[in-house]
Amino acid sequence: MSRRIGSVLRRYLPFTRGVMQEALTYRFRFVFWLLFEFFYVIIAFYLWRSVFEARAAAEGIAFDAVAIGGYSFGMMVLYVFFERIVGSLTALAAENFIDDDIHEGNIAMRLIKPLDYRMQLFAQSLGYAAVSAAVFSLSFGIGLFVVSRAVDLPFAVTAASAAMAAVSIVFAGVIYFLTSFLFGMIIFFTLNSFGMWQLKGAVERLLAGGIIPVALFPGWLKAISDFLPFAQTRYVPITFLLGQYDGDVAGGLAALLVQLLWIGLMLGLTTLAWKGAVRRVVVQGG
Amino acid sequence: MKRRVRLYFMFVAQHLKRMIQYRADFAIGILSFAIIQATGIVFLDVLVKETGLYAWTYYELLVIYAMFQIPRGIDHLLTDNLWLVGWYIRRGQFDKYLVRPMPVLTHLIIERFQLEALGELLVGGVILAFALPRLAIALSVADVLYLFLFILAGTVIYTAIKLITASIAFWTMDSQAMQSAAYEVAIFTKNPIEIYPKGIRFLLVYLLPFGFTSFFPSVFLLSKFGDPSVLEGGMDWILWKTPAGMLLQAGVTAAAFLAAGLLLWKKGLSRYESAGS
Amino acid sequence: MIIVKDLRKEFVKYERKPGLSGMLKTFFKAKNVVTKAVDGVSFTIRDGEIVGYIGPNGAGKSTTIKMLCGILTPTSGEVTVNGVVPHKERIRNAFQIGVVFGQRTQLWWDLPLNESFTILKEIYNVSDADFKERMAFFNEILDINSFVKSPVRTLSLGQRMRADIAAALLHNPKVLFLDEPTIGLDVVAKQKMRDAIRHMRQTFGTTVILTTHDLDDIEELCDRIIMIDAGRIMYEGSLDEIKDVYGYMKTVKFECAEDVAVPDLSALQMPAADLSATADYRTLSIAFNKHRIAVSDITDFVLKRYRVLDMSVLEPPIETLVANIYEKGVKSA
Repeated sequence: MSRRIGSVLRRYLPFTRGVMQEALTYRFRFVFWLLFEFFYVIIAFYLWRSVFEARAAAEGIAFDAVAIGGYSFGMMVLYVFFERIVGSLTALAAENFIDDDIHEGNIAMRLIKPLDYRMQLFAQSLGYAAVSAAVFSLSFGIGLFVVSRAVDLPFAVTAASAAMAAVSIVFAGVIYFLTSFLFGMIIFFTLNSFGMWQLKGAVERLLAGGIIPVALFPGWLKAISDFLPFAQTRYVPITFLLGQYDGDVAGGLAALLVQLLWIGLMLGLTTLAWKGAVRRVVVQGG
Repeated sequence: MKRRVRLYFMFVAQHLKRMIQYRADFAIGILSFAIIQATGIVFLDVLVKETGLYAWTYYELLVIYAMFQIPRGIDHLLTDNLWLVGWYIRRGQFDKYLVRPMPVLTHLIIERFQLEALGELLVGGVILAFALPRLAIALSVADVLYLFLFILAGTVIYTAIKLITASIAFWTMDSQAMQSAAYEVAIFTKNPIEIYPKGIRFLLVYLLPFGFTSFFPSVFLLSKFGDPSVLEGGMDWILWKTPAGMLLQAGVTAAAFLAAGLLLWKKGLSRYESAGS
Repeated sequence: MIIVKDLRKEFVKYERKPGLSGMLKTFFKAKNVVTKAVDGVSFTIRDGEIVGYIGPNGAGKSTTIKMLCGILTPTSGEVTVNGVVPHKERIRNAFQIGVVFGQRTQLWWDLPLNESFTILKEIYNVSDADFKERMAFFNEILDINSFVKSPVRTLSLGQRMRADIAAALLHNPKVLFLDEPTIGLDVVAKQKMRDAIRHMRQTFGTTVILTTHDLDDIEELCDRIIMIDAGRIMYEGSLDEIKDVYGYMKTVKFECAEDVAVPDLSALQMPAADLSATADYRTLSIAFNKHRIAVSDITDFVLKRYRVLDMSVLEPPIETLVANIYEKGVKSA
């Protein structure tokens, strides 16, 4: 068993390493990307503050007493930072690599090889996520610390919640990867357009709770979100970190189970899509 | 001059032809852009529809959001090639501009007509068309003229900042990241700038003056001069707190930044001609 | 007419030492490394000449050409192209020059070729009549019409190079700069290219400056060669002159009636450098220095000893000439 794991690691680790090295040479770009993300966080902070102040004024209560969808301002700030951090940890963006492969014309060749392609993409995405996670988590962690000096942040997580959060993040990363892979396969089948990738990114952000927490979604949006896997990729781990399951281990485990079920479903769908893609390549010759 | 205009329209015609050829791609691009902008509006919809933000009602916030798209879209439409200066230099494809019998900057700009930007203009137009009627605004001819000038100034500011950061490519080759970073600061101005602290407001009026592209035109359009929170919060860095004064500051700022951009471009180009690539 | 007098171009590079300690060191005391890419080059090119500008990589060829095009500003020295100083009057110079950059195209990648031509017509102010006439001419010698409707990115290398030359000549420039115009082309395409260049010079009197590593290009096209190395001119002259000065080693090949062995040449009293022989079955090849020994002496010698069926006198390949020049530097004949 360990020998098999060893051989798998040896086969795919070079992909991870390769992507990590490449990512590090583009550190200039990472710095500026980090800057963008900070813009977003700053804007979100002030925007939320004004939203809460507007509510306070409208309802005639103190700022600290305002709760929107069960979130106090402090919790919302935590949410914003956690969303960025969890987002960076789970960003196994297979679509970047699929897109490259499509453009370089390698994809037919890659698809024909047995099982390798999914694992290879996973390894590559992992390398990329590792670098982005290190950069972003560290930066936003520091940012969070700085903000906590100024704003009262209700950071309360039990050991059990923290452990479950870690597991949830791993699951979330896998789900993100699989949806990304599935999307890549669909794009490969239909039209390959830059607009589609952007669209997927934006929709994913929204439905994963990247703009407002899922709990605040209006009914119709929540319905859509329940139907799709995106909420599982960011929102669910964040709920653990916000202490939603403190003292409710059963509830936490249930949420983890849901993620696991999604993993199963996505594995099935991606296998179908991939097999379909392989068949198409074999029949049409790439 | 007339020749250049003819040349420009030849390029535009070419891009239109290609758009018709790749219309599926093009339509998807615009659609996805529109949806991405819509996700931003979801925020406003869910959270501030009843309460508004400070002095701004929900519909007024939509106006700011729409005004954000317009100068940005026009600039995107016309000067998109400036993003690629560093790319051209790195690939050795910049020299061909120096061998052509026209100013390099002119050639770069007229060569590319980015039709996708119509998406931004479309979104801005649609949102304005939706929000304005619900706000009972009566626009005189003078008002329309003012608005037009504000939009012009806003467009020039976007172009100028793009030009300034593009010129950096003559010194360091990888300028696109920096260009994007400076340009993206504009997204602060999707929201009324009173929500930000004084320092950020200063940035948005004097250093990267995107405030003049969406917020201040909206202040004008929605006649917010009487509102104390806007005057003390959003407009605190404006020197003359009247419509004319604000337009003047917008114009002077735009002109100053454009001049800086052109100067930097000239310097950068002569450095390129001296140092090679 | 192109006049270049004592042209110099120096590049300043900041020497960066690798590693973190290196970065810190250079931060405080930046070391400037001055490279003399062009170090006092002078030459004159007359109207209608086809000149080969050759030299090893990094010799300063492209730097010189860039200064002639107005892309690069010289550090010192004079340069005029038909009375115009390129870096001072870039646009005016641009009207009178055409450039083909070898691997990089001047055309618009996504547009059909004919649209590129139409746009260039507009840019260079070419009249309708001239445009028609020249497009017909290009079609005749470059066979443009067969692919003129295709987007440039779909063209093969050979087609694209032909398109680039036509594009460079559309406005009938007085001077044409060709940077590696036949690189990567197959034999037929190369020939077409060379024919086109010769034809252009003949019809329009275009001055052509050609940088190339392909010595057949030089052989077939160039009236004159200017050789540059390490920023300095090493040699200037016609191909015949070069052959005379550096190509003094000729070879006589004898086809004999039966297999031969290398003969003893000591009777001819020549050092080995000036006279040597190789034998290959029935072929006897004798290399000799034409300045030191006459071909008749060799043929007398051989005919006395062998039964010769056929013989031929071969010039040294041009690679040898160039190698000799590099090796020996400028030599006064």
